[in-house]
Amino acid sequence: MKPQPRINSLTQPFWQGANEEKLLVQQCEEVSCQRHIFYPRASCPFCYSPHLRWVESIGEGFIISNTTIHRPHHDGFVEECPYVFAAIQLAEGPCIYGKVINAPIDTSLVNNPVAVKFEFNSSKQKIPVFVLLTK
Amino acid sequence: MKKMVNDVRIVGAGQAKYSKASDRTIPQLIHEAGSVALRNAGLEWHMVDGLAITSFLLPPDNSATIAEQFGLEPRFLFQGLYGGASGIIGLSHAARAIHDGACDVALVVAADAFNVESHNNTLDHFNGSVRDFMSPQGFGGANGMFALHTRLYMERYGAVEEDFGHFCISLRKNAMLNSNALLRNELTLEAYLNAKQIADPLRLFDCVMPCTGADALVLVSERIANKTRGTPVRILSAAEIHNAHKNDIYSNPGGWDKFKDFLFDRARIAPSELDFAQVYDDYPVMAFYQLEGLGITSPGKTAEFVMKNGITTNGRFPVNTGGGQLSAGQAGASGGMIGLYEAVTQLRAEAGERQIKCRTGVAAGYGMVAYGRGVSSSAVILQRDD
Repeated sequence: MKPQPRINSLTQPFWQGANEEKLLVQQCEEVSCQRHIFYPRASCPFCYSPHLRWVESIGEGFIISNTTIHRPHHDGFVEECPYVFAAIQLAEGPCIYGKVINAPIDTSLVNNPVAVKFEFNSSKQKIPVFVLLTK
Repeated sequence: MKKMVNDVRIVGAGQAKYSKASDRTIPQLIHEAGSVALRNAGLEWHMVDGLAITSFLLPPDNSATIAEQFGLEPRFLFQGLYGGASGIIGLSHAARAIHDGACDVALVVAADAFNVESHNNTLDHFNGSVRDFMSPQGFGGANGMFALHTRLYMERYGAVEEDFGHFCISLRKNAMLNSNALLRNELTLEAYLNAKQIADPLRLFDCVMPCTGADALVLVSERIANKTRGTPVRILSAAEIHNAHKNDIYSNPGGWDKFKDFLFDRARIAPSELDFAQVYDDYPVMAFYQLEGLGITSPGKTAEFVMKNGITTNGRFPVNTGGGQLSAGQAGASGGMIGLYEAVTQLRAEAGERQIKCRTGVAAGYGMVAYGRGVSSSAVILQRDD
C-alpha cells in the first residue's frame, strides 16, 4: 500500500475535490492580493491574510523540473519504477507535485506543458497526476 | 561592528566511530562523541553546564532527559529541530548563552543511527507538506527532491554530470585520508558515471549513504579556555535564515546568498581570505549552491572552480577535507555537524594525514526538507586563536 495523506479540517476540501476529479487550490480573498496558494495553508503566505477560499484550478501548467525515480522512497511505488515525478507550476501560480504518467524517462521535461488527471491512490482516495501536452 | 561572541572559544572536537550498521543507541552515540570532544579539550563531564543536541531519532528523549541520563545539571539547553542546519545553529545559540553568562562549558553534539529504510521512513513524516503533498505523490525521498534541483541547475547553467562527478571524486580523495570515513576506496569518473541510477539525473555516488555516527564540539568562556588543551578556535560570525526565497523556492533552494554580506561583514573578512570551506553535501548540487551563495564561487561556476583550483587537501582551496557526508556517510542530523567537526579539527591542526595549512574557514549547514527544499540554512566563520 502507498503512503496515504492525513486528511484534516484544513486539507479535507482538497482531497474531497480530488475524489470528484477537481483540482482545488486556495485563493486569498484579500482584494489587493488574490494570490493562489498550494499546499493548503491557514493563512496567505504572501499578504498574511487569514481569509482564504477554495477555487478550482484549470488543471494545466508547466513542468518546473522533473526526475525519473528508479529507487522509490516507499515499497508502495516499487512496481511502478521507473516513473517520472515532477514539480509543476499551475497556470494560477502555485507549485504542485505529481507523477507524469505518459512521459519518457530519464530526460529533461523542463517547461513542458501538462494537464491534470486523477488516479486512485487507495481504494477510497484519488490523487492528482499529470499528462504531457504537446508543446 | 563588534564581533558576535568575542569571549567564547571552541576548545574541543570529537566524533563517535561511524558505522554502516545501527549498532548503538542515540544516548550511547552522544556520550561517545561527547567524551572524545571533552578529552580533546582536557575537560570532564562534570564541568558541562550547557547542552545543545540535534538528533532526529532522539525522541521520545530530548535534551533535558539526556541531561538526566548523563547526570548533568545544565543551565542552558538547546534541541535542534532544523535538521542539517541545526549543528551550526546550536553552536551559535550556545555561544550566545556563554556570552550572556548563562553557562561556561557547553557541549554541542549531533547523533543519529540510520539506514536507507529508516531514513526514508523518517522523511515520509518529516512535516505536514511532505507527508501529505509529496510522499503520497511519489517524490522519491530526498533523492527525488534534490534530483529536481540538480536538473534545474544543469538547465540553468549548462552543467553536466561530469561537473558533479569531479566534485565527488575530490571528496573521495579527501576521505581516503580519514579513517572515520565509511567510503575510502578510490572513485573514478567512469565508476561515477556508470553507477546505478537512483533518481535521474542522480546516480549512486551523488547520494549520501545513511549511517550511524555522532559529532561533538566543546565551547567555553574565555576564562576557562586558558585551562584547556590545544589551540582554541574563535567564532568570527554566524548566521541562520529560514524559508529564504519564500514562495519562490525553485529560484534557489538555499539561503546563503541572503546572509553572505552579514556573515562576512561581521567577521571583517572577505570570502577570498578563507582557507577552506566545509559545506553541507547531501548532494553535490547543494554544495555548489553553498559555495556560490557564500560568494566563494560565482553562480554556475563552481565546477570550473573545482577544476581550476583543486578542492582536495592538496588543492588551492580545500573543500570538505574529511570527505564530507558524500564519502564519510550521513549520520542523520550529524550531517549538519560533520563539517563543523572537520573545521575545528583543521583549525586546531589536529587533522593528521589530511591536515591543511589554515587559519580561517567557513562551515555551512542546511536542513529541514519540506515542500521541495531544505527550509533552513546556516553558516559560521571560524578562526584559529593564535
